[in-house]
Amino acid sequence: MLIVVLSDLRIPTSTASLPPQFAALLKQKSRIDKVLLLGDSITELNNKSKLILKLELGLVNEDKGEDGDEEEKEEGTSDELLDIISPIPNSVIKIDGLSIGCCSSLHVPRGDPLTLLSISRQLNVDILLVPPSGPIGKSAMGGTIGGINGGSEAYTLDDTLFVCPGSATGAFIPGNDNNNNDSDNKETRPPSFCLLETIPEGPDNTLAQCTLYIYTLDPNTNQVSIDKLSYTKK
Amino acid sequence: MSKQSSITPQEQQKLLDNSISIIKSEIYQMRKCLDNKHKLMDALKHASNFLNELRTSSLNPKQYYELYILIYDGLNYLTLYLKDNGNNNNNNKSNTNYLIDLYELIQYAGNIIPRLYLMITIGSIYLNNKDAPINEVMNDMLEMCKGVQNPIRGLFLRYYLIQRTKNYLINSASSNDDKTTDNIINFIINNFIEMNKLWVRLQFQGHSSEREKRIIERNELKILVGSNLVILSQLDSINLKKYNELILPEILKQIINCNDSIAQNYLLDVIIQIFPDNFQISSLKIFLNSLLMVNMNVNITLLINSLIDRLIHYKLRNNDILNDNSFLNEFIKFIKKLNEMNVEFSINDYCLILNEILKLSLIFNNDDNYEIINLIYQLSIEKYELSKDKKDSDKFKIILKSIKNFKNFQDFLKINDENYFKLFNLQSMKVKNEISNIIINKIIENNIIIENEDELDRVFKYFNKSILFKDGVLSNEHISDTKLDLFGEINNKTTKLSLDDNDKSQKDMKFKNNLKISKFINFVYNKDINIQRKLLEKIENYLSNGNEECQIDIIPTLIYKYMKLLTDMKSISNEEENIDVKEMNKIFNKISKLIEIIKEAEPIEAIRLNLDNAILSNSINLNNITYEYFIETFIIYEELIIENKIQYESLIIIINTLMSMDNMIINDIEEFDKLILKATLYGSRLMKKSDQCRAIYKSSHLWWINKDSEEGEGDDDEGEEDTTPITLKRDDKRVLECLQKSLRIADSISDRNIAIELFIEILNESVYYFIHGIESVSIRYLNGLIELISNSFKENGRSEIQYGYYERTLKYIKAQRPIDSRFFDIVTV
Repeated sequence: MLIVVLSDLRIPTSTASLPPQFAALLKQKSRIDKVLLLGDSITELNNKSKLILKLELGLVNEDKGEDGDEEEKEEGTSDELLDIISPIPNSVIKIDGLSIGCCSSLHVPRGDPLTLLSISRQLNVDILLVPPSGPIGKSAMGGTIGGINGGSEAYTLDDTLFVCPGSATGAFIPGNDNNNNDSDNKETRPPSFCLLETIPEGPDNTLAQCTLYIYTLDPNTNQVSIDKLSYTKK
Repeated sequence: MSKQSSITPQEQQKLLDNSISIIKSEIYQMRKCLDNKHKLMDALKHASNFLNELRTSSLNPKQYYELYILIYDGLNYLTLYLKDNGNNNNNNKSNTNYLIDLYELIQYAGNIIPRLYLMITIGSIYLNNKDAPINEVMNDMLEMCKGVQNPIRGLFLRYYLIQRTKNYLINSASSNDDKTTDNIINFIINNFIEMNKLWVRLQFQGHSSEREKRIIERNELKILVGSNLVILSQLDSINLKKYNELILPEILKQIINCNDSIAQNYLLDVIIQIFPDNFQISSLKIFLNSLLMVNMNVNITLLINSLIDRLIHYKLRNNDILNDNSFLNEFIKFIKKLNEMNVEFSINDYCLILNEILKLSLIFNNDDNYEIINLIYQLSIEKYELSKDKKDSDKFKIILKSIKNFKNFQDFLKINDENYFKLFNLQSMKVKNEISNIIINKIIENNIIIENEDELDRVFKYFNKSILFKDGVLSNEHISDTKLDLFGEINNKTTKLSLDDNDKSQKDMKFKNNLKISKFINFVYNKDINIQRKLLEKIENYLSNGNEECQIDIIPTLIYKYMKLLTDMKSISNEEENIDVKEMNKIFNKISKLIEIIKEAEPIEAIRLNLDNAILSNSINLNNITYEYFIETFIIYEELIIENKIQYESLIIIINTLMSMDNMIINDIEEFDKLILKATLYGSRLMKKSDQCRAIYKSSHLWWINKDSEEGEGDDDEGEEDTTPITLKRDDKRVLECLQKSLRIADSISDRNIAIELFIEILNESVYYFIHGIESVSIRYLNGLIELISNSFKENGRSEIQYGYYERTLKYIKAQRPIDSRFFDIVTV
């Protein structure tokens, strides 16, 4: 199964839309099985984020009036083909024999692997998806990527795969010192998201496994780079 | 002709089959005679026989055309033979004589149809002869053709004339002899005029009940008439002057005078399609003037569309050649005259035409273009003012939408939009919203940054009258939508339902519109912080005059822009080592006021905004402001957050945010302590015990706060071990107190499974502190917890989920032993 994991969109408050390169990738609906939009710190706000993401991906008709233009009608004709899930915090999704835990920034206040380990024990999961942590705006997983906080990150610890997809828009975070690198209107952390490809247990006793792809957009070159990480269930 | 209507299709088919077999056999006979060479006279006799079949009046145009094709082939054979024969003679003179003789001889054929076809056949060969009296022969043929006045027969005969002479006409016209060219042009135009007359007359043949049938027949025949114009367009030697002075006026005169809409529709379109692009432009005035004189039911709109399409493609193909846009004025004059002459001219069509002209204008880059565009908007308004029906305004939508075609949308922010805006204001709210959406979409699509007040004012002018408009927009339309029942009363049942539906979709619509404006605000940016501040204040001002929903939906985005501005101010003042506290305070005050506006409607959003601003002000070291944001958060928490679950979640983000207040802890610990005491107190007041328990053990972190060291980042492959955190606040006793209190609460929960789960959570939290070396969380404490948990399992049984969690925790503890020997003392049985 192919599962896209997105988080920290901050549309429209900090940015207008997904980077076009990402939107194009994500609109290949036929290939993607699920989209996980990692939860907001407050569950109430999730539905709104979900609706906004749907609009971004053209899954909902952007009412253009009855005689809307054809080009615009093309999109959004077949909504709900793509399954967008905004998991409630600390919920577990089971796919292909892997349990995937989803936490919200609510539960990861400290950029701190010990806390993440604690959550992975509590949820008893193989993979833990972690949004960039909310108010602090650092990478929820403690580290900094390329000197920029709040970026994507992934590592295996205690037989568990921890994945932070970063921010799909790379939007401004208040109070994050790294915001001021550039006084141009540019975003300061590279936009990124993740794709999980899960493979179930094989008949020849191969274990359930998962390949993680991290898509990162270099804001300077506008190129998307892909990092890969493999994980096998223990 | 009257006979034709009385025969059945079957009979017609029979007649056709019969004629075909006669023609085929006569052609065969003719070829046999010609192949035996000396029997030319016999061959002509056979030709005359098959030509006789074209005398019929009983066939429809299609059937007649079938015969014509066969005969054309037959006569082709004859032509080739005659040409060959002439060449064989080798003697020009005798060849000429031979053709003259034949031409004379043919005159004696008994019937006019065979006579004229043969005459044209021979005459057209004769034309290729240098010594021939070309003008006379040509005139003779034209004159003779007048002898056939039956429309179908006449049309085909003249079609034959033009087909046969086509090669001669095209070849001779390319020689530079001006007079010859004129003659040829006159010849073709003359034939065209005569054919058109025949074609129009066909409409009035037969019974009036067959009108529809006539129209179909005429459409089948139109290509014959058009062929004259096609040949004209193929003449190389025609220049602009000849086209404008000689050809086009003559043709147009005929087209207008014939007063027939089928002819006008078709032939005017042919002119647009076949003559070169530059001819079209130079003759625009004459052509458009004729369009004003056509019959009522000629589709002017369609004609203008195809003309403009042609010109647009011309411009796109030859951008460099076609720079002069002055011809656009001809279109303006045209539309003005059209309006004067025909006040009733359909608004729809009028708009379609204007839209086409707009499209064309917009592909030019010339400076005066926008004047023309402005003029078009003015014309639209004038037309609207003539209309009595207010509902017509929507028809002008297409014109407003034309801004999509701007080559460079940035221009829209600069042009004189006085008339455009007037027209915009005449629209219904729905259309206005749609146009505002287009404006925003275009700005986003083209990544246009709004960087000065003029541009901002320009755009908000439209938003103010649409999406932001105060005073519900939709209430009027609501009423008109309600259905009245048989007795003129509002049918309550159905109305209510549809109103609810309406409400929902309108809410949806409003949300989407407001989302668009929020997105737009992301495109307002100027590097200069003073200008940026003015821009944001302007937006704020506009929003404050807008409707309430807009304010609520859009203000958060504006606040984030102010926060971004503060961040920029901070980074600038870092460079200059001079923080302008006063100005920053002012902006933070503004933000607080903005949050105040939305807090009733969106308390959760308001809490989040307050906390984000606390983070921001903390990072600038404005601790009293940070303190105020927390107090404001607490007020909202107390007064406006009612639902248990949201209370809990809000409290957790408050705690998390407090943990990151490094500058406040360093510089203002007293105020900070007040805040954390309050937060912990909230935890103990939550409704559900499990929430209380979790909130309190999470609060324990408020007494033990570390900060990542700023210098020692380096490579953090192994995460926790490399960085040496700086301890900001550490109160081991309070940490333990929190853990103890949460444990007591957990223990008081009657659902033991929940209690056990909470015990394990507290165990994990304690292990966390143990690793970090908090002395109050001792081995003894941990062992006590483990004992408590395992006893609880003994009493209550091992529920799978909780026990799994427990086992995994113990496994983790064991795994720490090789790293940290203290773990050996933890009993994990």
